[in-house]
This record gives sequence, C-alpha cells and structure tokens, in this order.
Amino acid sequence: MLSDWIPDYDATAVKRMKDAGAVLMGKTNMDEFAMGSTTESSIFGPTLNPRDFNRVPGGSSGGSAAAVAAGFCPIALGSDTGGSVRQPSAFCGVQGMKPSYGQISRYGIVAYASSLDQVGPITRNIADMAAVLGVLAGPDPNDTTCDAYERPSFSETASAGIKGKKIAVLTGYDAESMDSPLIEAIEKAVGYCRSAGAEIVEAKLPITMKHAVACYYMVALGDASSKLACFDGMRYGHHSDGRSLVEMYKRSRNQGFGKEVRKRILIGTCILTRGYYENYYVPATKVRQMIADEYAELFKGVDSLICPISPALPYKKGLVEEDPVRMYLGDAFSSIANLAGLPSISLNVGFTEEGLPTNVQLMGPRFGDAGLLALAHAIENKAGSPPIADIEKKGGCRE
Amino acid sequence: MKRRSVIGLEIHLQLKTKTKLFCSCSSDYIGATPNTNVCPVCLAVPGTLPILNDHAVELGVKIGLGLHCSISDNTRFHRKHYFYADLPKAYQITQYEHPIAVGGYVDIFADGKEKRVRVHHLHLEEDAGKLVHPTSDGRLTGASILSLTTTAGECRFLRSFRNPT
Repeated sequence: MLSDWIPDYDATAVKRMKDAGAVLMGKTNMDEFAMGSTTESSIFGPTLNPRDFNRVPGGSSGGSAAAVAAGFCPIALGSDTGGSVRQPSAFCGVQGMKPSYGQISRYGIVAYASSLDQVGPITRNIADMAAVLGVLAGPDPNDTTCDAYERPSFSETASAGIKGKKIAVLTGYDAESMDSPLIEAIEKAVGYCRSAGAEIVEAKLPITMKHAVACYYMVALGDASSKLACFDGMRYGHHSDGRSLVEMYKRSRNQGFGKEVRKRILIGTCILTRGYYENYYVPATKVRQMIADEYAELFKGVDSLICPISPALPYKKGLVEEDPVRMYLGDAFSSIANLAGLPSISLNVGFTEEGLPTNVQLMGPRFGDAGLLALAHAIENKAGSPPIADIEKKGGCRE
Repeated sequence: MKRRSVIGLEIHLQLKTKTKLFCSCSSDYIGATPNTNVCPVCLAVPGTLPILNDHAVELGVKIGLGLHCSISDNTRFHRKHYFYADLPKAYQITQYEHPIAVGGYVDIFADGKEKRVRVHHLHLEEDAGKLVHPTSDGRLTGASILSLTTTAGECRFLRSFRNPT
C-alpha cells in the first residue's frame, strides 16, 4: 500500500534524532503495517536473523533489530504495539525498549493501534539506550497523548544502581511450555539483581496471565481496522481504478494490503460491529483496565518486575504459515506493557550453546522509565552487553 | 385514522473558531480556493494525530449554558466509521456517549403560544469535506461543528407553518 510512498514530513522522533546530530542511515524492513512477529510479511521479502540465518529476526521491527545485531548501526528505532520492538530485540540478541505510553511523541508513526503504539529504541547497550531515550522523550504539541512531565536525565539516572530496590519475579505461568534456556535466563537475571543489592520477591498476576493475549488482540485489531481505514488509495498509497467509488476502494485495498493485514482488518472490523462490539470490544477495554490496575497494585509494593519477553527462542522460518495462533500466543508476555502503558525493556543476558540469544523482560510503573533503565544497567553490568553477530563467519549476508 | 407528527431536529452549528476542530488550518473557507486550508492532519496523511481546539470546546460550553444545559464534567470523543470520498480518515471524530452538554431547552413562540423545545444534547464533531462530483474539496474538512439534537416531540404547532396565512 505504501511501498512507493515518501512522507512529506518528519516524525517528531526522527526530527529529534536529526536535531541531536544523528545520521539517518536508512529505513529498515518490517512486517507490513507492523502486523506480525517475524518480518516475513514484508512485501520486500524477509529479513534473516544475524544470529542464525535459518531463523527469523522477530517482528514487526525485525529489520531494525537485525541491523543493530549485525553491527550495521548502533541505534535503530522501531514501533512497539504488542512487543514489536522488544521481541525482535530478544530474537536478535540486542537491547530493546518500549518506553511508557506518552513518553515519546507518536506524531509521524503510521498508526496500528493508537492506544498501544509507542516508539522504541534498539541498541547494543543500556548506556546508548538511555542516551537515545533522552533525545526522543518529551512533550510535542502535535501529540496530546505525549505527556508533558519533566523528564529526568535518563543517562545520569541509568547508573543509579539497584541497591535496596525491591524486584518482583513473575510466577504462575506455564514454565513447562516455554523454551528452558529462557527460564534459565530469568534465573540468571534474578541472581545478578541479588548480587547488585536488590531484594527479590515473587509476584502472581492472575488476571493478566489469563487474559492478556485475548484482550490485546481485541483492542489492537479493533483499533487497527479503524486506523487503516484511511488507506483507500484516493490521496496517497496504492490506487486501483474501478467503475464506482466502492469498487475503487475494494480494489485498492485488496491489492494494496497483504494477507495478514487484510485478516487483521477483517477481524477488527467484525469486533467493532454491533453485537460484537458490546460482547467483545467493550469487555476487552474493561479487562484492559483490570490488567493495568493489577500492575498498579503490584508496583505499590515493588519497584520492578522481571518476566519472560517471549515464550520461545527465535522461530525457524515459516512458522507463521504453519501455526499462526501459536505465533499470536507469543505476544502473551510482551503485549502486557502496551495494554497497561508501562515501560518495558527486553534485555539480553546471554546466549545458548547454539548461539541463540536469551533475553528477559523488565517492567516498571508508568513513567518509571528512569528506574527501569537503572535496573537494566545494573543487570547488564554483570551479564555484559551482547556482541555484534558474526555474520561474515556464517557466510556473509548475501546468502 | 388520526396521525400525529413526532419531529426531532438535529441542527449543525458551524462554530466560529479561527481554526478547524483538530488542526491549525484556517476554518475561513468562504471564498477560498478549493483544497486550500488543508494540512496533513485534516487530510489524514498517515501518522498524523488530532489536536483538539480549545476554543471550540469553550464555545460549546457557552452555547450549552445559554440553552440551560448541564455541562458534562467528563466528555469523550468517538470515531464514527464509514467509507466515503469526503471523509479522509474514513471515520469522523464525533461524540457518542458523554457529549459536551445534556438536557436544556429553548423557548419559542408558535401558534401564538410559548412553546418549549427540549434539547436532548449538544456534541462536538468535525465536518466532512465537500463533494462537487467528481471532485472532493478539503476546505471544510475538519471544521468545528456543534450538533444540537432536540428531543423528538409532538410538534403540532409546525402544522401552521405549512399553510402560512
């Protein structure tokens, strides 16, 4: 739909990076309209995972994560609606963050779901992450959902340490169904926190664990069908002629959108129609509030939460075709932060014997981004920041 | 068989704001060349976001108070979806539940008597574009509208307007 489109204005996030002296090296590959977890739905073709060319880099911001992991650039940006920055960061073995909702302006982000979307930086270490957040975060008259609170210096606060902090570890989910190296990664991260002086407690979040994925897909797909309705080929984007207005719309949209996008728009439209709206969408928005409340309650007693980011190690190519539902369930942990508007970091704590990255998820209270970066920094001090992927050794990226 | 007419009115008031409801384009469309006074926001270019015009809200509240309405503490906007050539976002930002003002009335003279027309609610919404087939003109798109909805009531007095003396 937008393959030939060149925007005539800069997103605020891009403008801020440029104003800070960043050099824009190029655009990276992604799942079409940010709908996907593998980058395989891109009309430009898939992206290889620099850590293992037979596996996907994750998605939807797979290209950005792969670029950083492969050493093409130290910083890449993506947008995270249900995990689209953090899950590819986990699959490619780099650091990814979704700041609090309202931290960074969404002006210029092609919307997928307005109440869930947030710009997210991807870097190889937390010091860079804090610096980038410092550049990107701040109010914007073009986005009223971007909060005007006075941000601290994220770079300064990142090295604050976690001595005396209370950190919860999520329990109560089915660890058996997860890839075991990811469970070990959690244990490793917890150990690092202890040795850095933090107190560890356990936390159960029953409502969230039970309902997050379903809630996310109701809310996101409803919003997506709404936000993608403007793509009718009349003012921009792919246009197909027709004998009537409706025929033009149908042809432009059927031809311009890929299969996954069409699927999600149809489901979302269905969810918003009378009969379904009251029974699916509205309850989902209420459950969403319950999830946010469950977390607000949690963060009254603790400073941060450690939990998985993905239940699985990087998928082999083609999983989407085989088992789409399993792919959707992969958002179980990552979508929570979007639903509740909370900051979340996908942090690399090591690699398996086969060289596959193992990341963990860190979550904090709304606008507790500084504290969350401090936690990530403290763990990274022990775990080390991930190395650049050795793509030359694997036969180069021209494979 | 006797029939009674039950009539309710929905009246669109164009608010005299300098700029449109959700962007800073001039709303002074009269005499302007077609498709001027447009911007990425009112043309629904991807990535744009609506910024609510404070003055429109102020005017809505003022009119609400003038009509003896109760002004809502909490008012919300909703998206009304449909596909049409004069609707760039394919949804109109309007109000559904929680409009800006509810209740209220206006007293008029009809049939020599004073009649009270009850106001059901007032809500803010953006205007669509203008269609002069086969073209579409975005001058009006996004202009501020205050929609006044009366209650549906017996309006027998309107019969006298059918046969003016």
